[in-house]
This record gives sequence, C-alpha cells and structure tokens, in this order.
Amino acid sequence: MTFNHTAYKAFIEKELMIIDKKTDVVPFVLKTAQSDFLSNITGRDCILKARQLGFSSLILAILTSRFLLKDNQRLVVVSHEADATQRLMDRVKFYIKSFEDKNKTKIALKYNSRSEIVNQLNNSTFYIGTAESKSFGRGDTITGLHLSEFAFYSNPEAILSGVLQALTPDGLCFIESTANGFNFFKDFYDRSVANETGFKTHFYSPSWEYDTDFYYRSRKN
Amino acid sequence: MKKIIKVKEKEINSLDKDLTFKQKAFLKRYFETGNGTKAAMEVYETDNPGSASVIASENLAKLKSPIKTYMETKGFSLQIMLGVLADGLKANRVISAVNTDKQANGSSSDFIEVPDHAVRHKYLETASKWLEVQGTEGTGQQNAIQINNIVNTKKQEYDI
Repeated sequence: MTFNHTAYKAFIEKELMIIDKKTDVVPFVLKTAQSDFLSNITGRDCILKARQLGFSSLILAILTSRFLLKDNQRLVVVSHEADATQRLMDRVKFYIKSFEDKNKTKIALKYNSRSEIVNQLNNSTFYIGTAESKSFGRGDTITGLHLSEFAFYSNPEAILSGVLQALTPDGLCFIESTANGFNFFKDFYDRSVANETGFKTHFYSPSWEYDTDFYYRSRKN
Repeated sequence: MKKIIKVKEKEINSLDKDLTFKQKAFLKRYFETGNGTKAAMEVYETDNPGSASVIASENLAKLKSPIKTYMETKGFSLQIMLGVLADGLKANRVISAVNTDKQANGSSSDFIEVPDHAVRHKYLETASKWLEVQGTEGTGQQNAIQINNIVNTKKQEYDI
C-alpha cells in the first residue's frame, strides 16, 4: 500500500484546525507521538497507547483528508459506545468546517446526518458504526476504518472479522485503544507483535506526552 | 410511466450552428432525460457523478441560449409561462352562498365566486420556487466549479 506520509502531514497541518485542551481553535500541528505514528503508518496498524495522546484526532484527520480529496471512499469510524462514536463524527465535521473556512468554500454534501456524510463532489462517504452491532461491516466495502478504543468493545472478534473482510486491499485500518486488562485486544496485539495478524503494532506510553513529574503528581492525586 | 421524449438531430442542429459535436450530444440527452448530470456522464465519458455535475453546470451555463430557443419552439416561452402564472394567481372558485341542491354555474345567483387561495398559493409557490431556483442555480453552479477547482488544486498540491 502506498501512503504518502509527508503529504498527509502537510495537508493536516496546513488545512485543518483542531480544538486544543484550552478549548481554543488552533491549527492542527502534530505532537511528537502523532508525528511519529504518522511516519510509521503501514495501512494495517494496531496501536496500544496512553490516554490523551491525540491518536483519534490524528486518525480522523487522515480519514477526513481522504474524504475531501479522494474519490469513492467509504470511511468508517467505530467506537465502544454510541455517544463516543457520535463525538468522533462531530470532530470530523469540525475538520471539514475548518477546511471550508480556510479555503472560503463550502463542501457540497449530498447527505449530512448525525451518522453519515456523503461528499457530492467525489462520491466519498463517511459514516459511523456501532460496536454493538454484531454484523457490522458485512456486505460493505470499506476503504478507511478507525476502530477506536477497541479493547472496550463487547464483541471485538465478531466486529473485526466482519470489517476486515469488507476492507479493500488498499484500504487503511487503524485499531487503537488504551489497555483494558487481558482480553481479545491484548491477545490480538500480542499476535500482531508475533507477525501473525498482518498488523503492525505501535506502542505509545505516557512518556511521549507527559514528563515524570506529571506522572508522579497524577499518581499522588 | 414516464414518457420518453425523443429529440431529433435536426432540431438540435437548428438551435445554433456553432455548437460542437459533444455539446449537441449533451443537449440531446439533456432534453431527453431532463437530467444534466446523467447527460454529461453519457456524453463526456465519466463515471464520476461529481465531475459530471460540474461539466453539466458549466455546459448549461454556456448553452443557455440554445436551451431557451428549444423551449420556445416547444411553446415554453418566458411570456407564456408568466401568463400562465398570472392566470393562476387570479384563480377563483365557486361556492354556495346558501344551502341548495343546485349545480354551481355562472348564471345561478345562489353561488358566488371567491378567491381560491389554495390554488393561488400553489401558483405563488411555483413562481417563487422558479425564481429562487433561477437564483440559487447560478450560485450553485459557481460554487460547484469553485469547490472543484479548490479540491483539484489541493489534490495536486498534496498527492494524498
């Protein structure tokens, strides 16, 4: 799979805005962990990460770039609960709006609902799936997939087998989660480390973003 | 069932002698289907509805004059349409002034003519929709072309 890492980095940093932790709207300048991950993307990526490192934001930005610039994309985001997925979709809409504001234009959307948006210009679709649905992804064709907080899914095995069959050979698949004990995700991650799944593993500890003092302060609190 | 209108080559040729081969083919399919995107997809060999809709918008903007001429040859001149709208906006209906079993007609004094607001409203809606469509279509076309240009520039710039 060809993935132009520098092109995505340039597009995201120049064209998209993000709401930072102070609730200000700022240009989406990648943080160290985000930048490192972006330059190591293979298209089949499994990420075990600490909280609040910005992986969901980055992955959604990558998928949004494809939604805006590539034809006939079917992009899907799934999270462990419906509300969380909805919030991820809202973030995608925010990226699109920031692109529109930056370029003083309006992307024509054929559909714009709470769960699905369709780009009229290039026929690309972005929709949300629910981790509760056992048959999710079956019968679909997916070119970009984000499984967020995968370790918290109630039926991760069924979801994964469904969506992996729907994924096109050139499609992007990102499985990311914080750890949640010994479960299917842990097993999947271990098998990926052993090269048994075709996924590349990425591990991002809190030290990418937080210093040791912060860590000890948080533990004390 | 929807009636399929067949447009003759001769009719298209008579609209404007400077039309290119593709423009003629586009107009023919547009008059037959009433759908610019569909016509552009068939004539300009594209499978992408987005591109086809932009091509259609550009063509329809360029080919306003032959389209108008064609509509006039079919009896849809602007004057005729305005006339029909004006008539519709004066629509009346006959109602019974008293409770009778008689049939309503102009000679009967038991019936009176009152404005038919429901019908007038429909004509008014059509008129305003028509004017609005004319207005927004122009903006829509320009917007579609502008977005297409921006996105194409970004595609080249970033190669995603």
